[in-house]
Amino acid sequence: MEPLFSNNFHYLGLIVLMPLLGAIINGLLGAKLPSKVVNVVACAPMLLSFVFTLIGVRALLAQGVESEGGRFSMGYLSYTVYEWIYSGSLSADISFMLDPLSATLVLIITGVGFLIHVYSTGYMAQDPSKWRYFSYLNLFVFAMLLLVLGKNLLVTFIGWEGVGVCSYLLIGFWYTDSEKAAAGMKAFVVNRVGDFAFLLGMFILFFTTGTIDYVELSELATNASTVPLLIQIALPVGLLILIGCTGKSAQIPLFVWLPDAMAGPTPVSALIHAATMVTAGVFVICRLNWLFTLDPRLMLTVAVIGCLTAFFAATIAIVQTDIKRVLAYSTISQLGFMFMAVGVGAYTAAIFHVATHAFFKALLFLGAGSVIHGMHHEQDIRKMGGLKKYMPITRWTFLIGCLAIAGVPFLSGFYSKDMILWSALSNVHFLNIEGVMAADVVMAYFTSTVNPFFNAEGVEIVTWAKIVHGGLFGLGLLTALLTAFYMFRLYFMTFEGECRADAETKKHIHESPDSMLIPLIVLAFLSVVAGYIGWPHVVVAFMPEALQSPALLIEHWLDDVFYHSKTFRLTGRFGDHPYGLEALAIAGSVGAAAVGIGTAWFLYIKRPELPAWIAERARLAFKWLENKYYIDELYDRIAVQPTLLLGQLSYWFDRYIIDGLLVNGTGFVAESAGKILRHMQSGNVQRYATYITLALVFILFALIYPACF
Amino acid sequence: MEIADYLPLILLSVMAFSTVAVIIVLATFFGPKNPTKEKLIPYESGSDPVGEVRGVRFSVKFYMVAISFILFDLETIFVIPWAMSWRQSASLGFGFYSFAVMAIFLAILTIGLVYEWSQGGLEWD
Amino acid sequence: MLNMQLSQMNNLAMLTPPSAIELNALIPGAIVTLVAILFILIDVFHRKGTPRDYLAYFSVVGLGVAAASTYFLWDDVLARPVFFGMLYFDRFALFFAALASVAGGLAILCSPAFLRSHRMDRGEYYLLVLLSVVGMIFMVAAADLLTLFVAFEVMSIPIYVLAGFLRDDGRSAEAAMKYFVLGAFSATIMLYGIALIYGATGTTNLEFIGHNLAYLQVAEGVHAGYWMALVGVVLILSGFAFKIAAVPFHIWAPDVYTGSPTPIVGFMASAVKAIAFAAMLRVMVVAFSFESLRGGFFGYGWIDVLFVLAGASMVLGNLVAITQNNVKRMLAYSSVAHAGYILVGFVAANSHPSFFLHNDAILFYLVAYTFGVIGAFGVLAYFGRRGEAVETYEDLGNLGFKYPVMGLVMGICMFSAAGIPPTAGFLAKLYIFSSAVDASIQTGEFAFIGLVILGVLTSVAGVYYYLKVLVYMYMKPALREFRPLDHIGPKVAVVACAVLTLYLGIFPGRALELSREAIVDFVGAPAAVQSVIDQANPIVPDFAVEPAVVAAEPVL
Repeated sequence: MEPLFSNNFHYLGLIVLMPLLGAIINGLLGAKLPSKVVNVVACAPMLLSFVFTLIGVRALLAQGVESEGGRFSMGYLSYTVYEWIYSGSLSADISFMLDPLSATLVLIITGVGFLIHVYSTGYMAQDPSKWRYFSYLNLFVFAMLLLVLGKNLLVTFIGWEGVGVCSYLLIGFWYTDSEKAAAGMKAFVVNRVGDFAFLLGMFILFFTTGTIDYVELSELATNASTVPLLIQIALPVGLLILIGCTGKSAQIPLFVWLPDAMAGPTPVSALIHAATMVTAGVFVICRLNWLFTLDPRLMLTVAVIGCLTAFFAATIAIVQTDIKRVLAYSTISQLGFMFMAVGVGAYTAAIFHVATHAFFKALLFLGAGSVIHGMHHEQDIRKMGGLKKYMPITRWTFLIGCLAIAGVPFLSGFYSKDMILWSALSNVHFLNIEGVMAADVVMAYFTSTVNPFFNAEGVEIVTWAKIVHGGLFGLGLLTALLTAFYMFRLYFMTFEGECRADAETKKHIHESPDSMLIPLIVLAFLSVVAGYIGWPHVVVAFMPEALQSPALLIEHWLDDVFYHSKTFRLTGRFGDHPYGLEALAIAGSVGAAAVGIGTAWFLYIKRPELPAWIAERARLAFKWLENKYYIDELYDRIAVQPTLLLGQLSYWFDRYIIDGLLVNGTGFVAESAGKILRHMQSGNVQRYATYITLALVFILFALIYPACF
Repeated sequence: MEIADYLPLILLSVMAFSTVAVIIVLATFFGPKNPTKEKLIPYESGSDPVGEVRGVRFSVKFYMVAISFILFDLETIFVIPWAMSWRQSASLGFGFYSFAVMAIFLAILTIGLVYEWSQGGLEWD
Repeated sequence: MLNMQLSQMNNLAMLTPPSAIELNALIPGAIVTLVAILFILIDVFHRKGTPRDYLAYFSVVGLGVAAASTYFLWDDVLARPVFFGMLYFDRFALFFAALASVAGGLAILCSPAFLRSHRMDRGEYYLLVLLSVVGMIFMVAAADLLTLFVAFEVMSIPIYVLAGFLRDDGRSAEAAMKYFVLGAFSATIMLYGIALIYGATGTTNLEFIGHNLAYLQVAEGVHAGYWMALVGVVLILSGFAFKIAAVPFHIWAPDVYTGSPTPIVGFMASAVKAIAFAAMLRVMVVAFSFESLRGGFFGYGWIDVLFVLAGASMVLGNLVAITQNNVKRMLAYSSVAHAGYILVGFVAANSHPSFFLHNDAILFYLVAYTFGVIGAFGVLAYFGRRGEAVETYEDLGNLGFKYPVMGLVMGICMFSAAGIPPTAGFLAKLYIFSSAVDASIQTGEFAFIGLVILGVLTSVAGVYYYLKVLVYMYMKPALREFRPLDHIGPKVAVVACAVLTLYLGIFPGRALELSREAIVDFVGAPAAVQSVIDQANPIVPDFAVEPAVVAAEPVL
């Protein structure tokens, strides 16, 4: 297929420019502008960007053509702003690209972003430096749009770093609190570990293939004559980029920063740490899907990381008592689901979940923000309860969010989660590890769509891989159950039962202003209906003809982007669909949701004394969970402390070995010229000189000695 | 180069060392000795070689004069060879060039002198 | 017979002037010298007790003219050494002449307020900066070890004096003492190295040294002269390593950086380092790029020495910087770390002739680093007053909000130093590391990637201490009150640094082009390198048809 190409689609530049303008205006003039103007300057760019994106989507649809096999391919729109680096050893443009994948993400970013901006006008109304907050927030959106719209890895990387910086600024926004400043720092440093791995992966990719442009790279990856080059480096590059993604998307082993990042204002948590930035890792892997699909070992790693993260984060979430921390661990868990989806090759399902998750998690965070706002910055759910009386709208919207994330049918979370679980069970594309790698990589071989369940010619089905898939599915199901449980634990403890707040707080509990409630209602609506673009195939089969295509809209929409990766997959595509497995997955996830909600209801409404009793009995397990498996402490022990120690040691070496006579290592005890001279005489400088001479002698010895033989 | 090529060098060193050694030895044995306290001081100019260096302070003016001396001494060293070869240079047709180069050099030195003068480098009190 | 040629040339040199076109080579240096001389004359007639700001502006204008002259000379360069093999007049030299002038100008702009607030408003300060810049301009142009050494000392001695300029301040005096004694010591070692090289090859001309070393090897096998040369190379290298403050020759840096006047520290950390790198590049490539001397991958040559220095500098610099509580001291160790990063690029680009063009990454890094570092020290200098300088992190408390411009500049400079987009520092690190990865992939040698990974990991530590500055500036309460002297100079300088840092990060095109042109127009390279250059540069002879060059700004 020839990619459709339409450069100079100027609207792309405008999409990115709008938030930047907002950030600059608010950042430079915000302190002097009236509050209302600040609000407008902050929100208007988001809306404009959203509108421009819609124009882009329309143009994309307009240039779509029916290609062979009834596939509707739209290609992409692109816009080159300018040549950024143009030099012999490295070249990259600042250029943007809008294809169905980035369009989906941009719609989420600008759409949900707009709602959260509107919400923030209410939430931050009292804050004196609101202008600064909005400036950072707009800057964040700008960086995020760079990340998503970038046409090459470098632009993506700039956005990638940019969102990190903005996240740092926003986490530490209430700077008076040194703990919050530390949280921002932690998020930034942990992310940097991942970022540089990402950078290294990018370099290797660039110097092996000579390009970092997505379009050119994907052409290389889907061309039989060039793909062997990429297969060699797919594993190292993929792993390095995966490390970067685990940092940004808070997966094992770099997930520790996200719960601490909750120190920022709640709308920030909703926008950055739930809806957009943390999904960047999923986006990048999807963007590079043709690379990840090349090496089944890589895919397996992604899937296992995702699955384990989902499960561990869910177990931790069970015992947390801070409303935002529960949501933070739930976010990590849901991100784990997305990684699992990517890892089993269900890219569409991953993006689908990104979208639905953006809606319901933003809703939940904003709902939590509304609660915190109403309770005067109380975040402990043990001191809440019975809030449905005081804040009915917040309660209903929050309930919808909980139902959605729990996977109750007819709400969005059900559809995307079900698609992931079913894919985990049925996509066994990485089974042919030995087969693909050993055979001398022929594209025809790659693209053969063999269904291992019915037709296993040329492919050896390894039993253990089936077991791994079974395990992924099983663990995923268990996680879904836990999700339903802890979300409803949260809901019941916050909104149902008796109010446990003290009398003083009780008096002031109030429903939030309209500017906060309207976004909640809109998001609640979206959390319900967003799922209707991805019905399970087994259901679609019974639908009337006219509804079948809209019911699978998300798959058709993204089909083009993931086409090549899908053809590597060994399951059948739409034609020979394993309906049985899908029905099994549906039954499983509905059951899990029901059991989870039921248990939560039993433990926190029916028999509220039980949780304490259980906690008493399983003390050790609780302690482990409450302390998040001691991961923070472990990292402190194995990474932070040794680095500091090494620093101290180097310093000690640098100062005391050489500069032993001076106290405190400051190098300056001298106050008068006489003392200086005495120090000169006592050998301070002589020591330095001796040190230099010794170093020189050592170097000469090291150079000459081995060569003497 | 072979080791034999260094032979003259070695011979020279040996001769130098032995001459000095012989003279010292002869002087030790045959020279008249009449030591007094003053004669045994390492520096005959009267300064005490042992003790705090900082105890004896020289005025910075000594250094100013010394440095000025060295500067204008060096000027002489440059100007004399230039004057010697100027005729040769002029005969090749580069007389003006040579003159200009030296003029620049002298101008810079003159400015230095003006600077020193105005900063009080030439005043003793 | 090469020696014979040289002595004939020298005889000729005594009698005949260089051709008129060669005099162009002197222009940038001559302008700065002229400014310095005029400066003396003006300063002599300065009325006592009045501020000397106009002298500072005069020096800045002079340095600006010198920098601008490189723009006009950019197309008039010569492909051969001038002044009888004493100087090169190529774009590489012009590039660094411009860099030194601009760095000197920015440092001077930061100074008048600083000097006045330290009650040390004396004209000699600017004069010494100017003279140091003269030394720098000739140092990068040197084609002979003797020219190099003289220029090296002309650059260094004013800096020694400047380090102790606040002579009433014990720490400044101590810094000057330490710097002078150790600097003189390392210069002596370097001189000894030059003597050994002269002994081994019979010449001090860089190109002739290269020829003679190759000749020695080919004609006479491994000769005693070879070992002498090797020792000489290492000694010369140690002189450069001292100036760029690479571990283990960094030992002076923390004490000197802490004690010296803050604007001078900025100058010292940027321009001196950049020029030392440039001169090192010139000497190593022109004279010592002979294969067995160069080594590479533990074949026992200077590349291996630098390889180890690079690794050690990155690790020690970054780790020790974490533990520092004094900001200037932290920046001193971070400058050691930056020397390590630049050495990574240096090692990668010079490990084999075919990677020579990757040296443009070093040039770009040095430019980016210069503005970042002068900006950071400029901000620190702004707050300093006699006896109440900004020293520790705590002192920075809340300054970011109280002085928004200074806070913003510091933020940009710190982001740049930490390598975060869209600042120049990010791009520079990207460029350096990418060249090392490229070298690694092309040679199949993992050592470079190992070095890059080390650099990447240590720079994560770097993020920690750079951000700490911002945390204190914006998120901690003020513990002390500062009364900075309000002055336009430092503001202009640091804002210029910040703007340039951002500009180079967002629109690096021209700067990269200039770095590339400077490295492509590198005169004196041996044949193996020259062929690489020629391949990359099919447009060498006709400069007039290059409109991009004409439009370019030479200062970047």
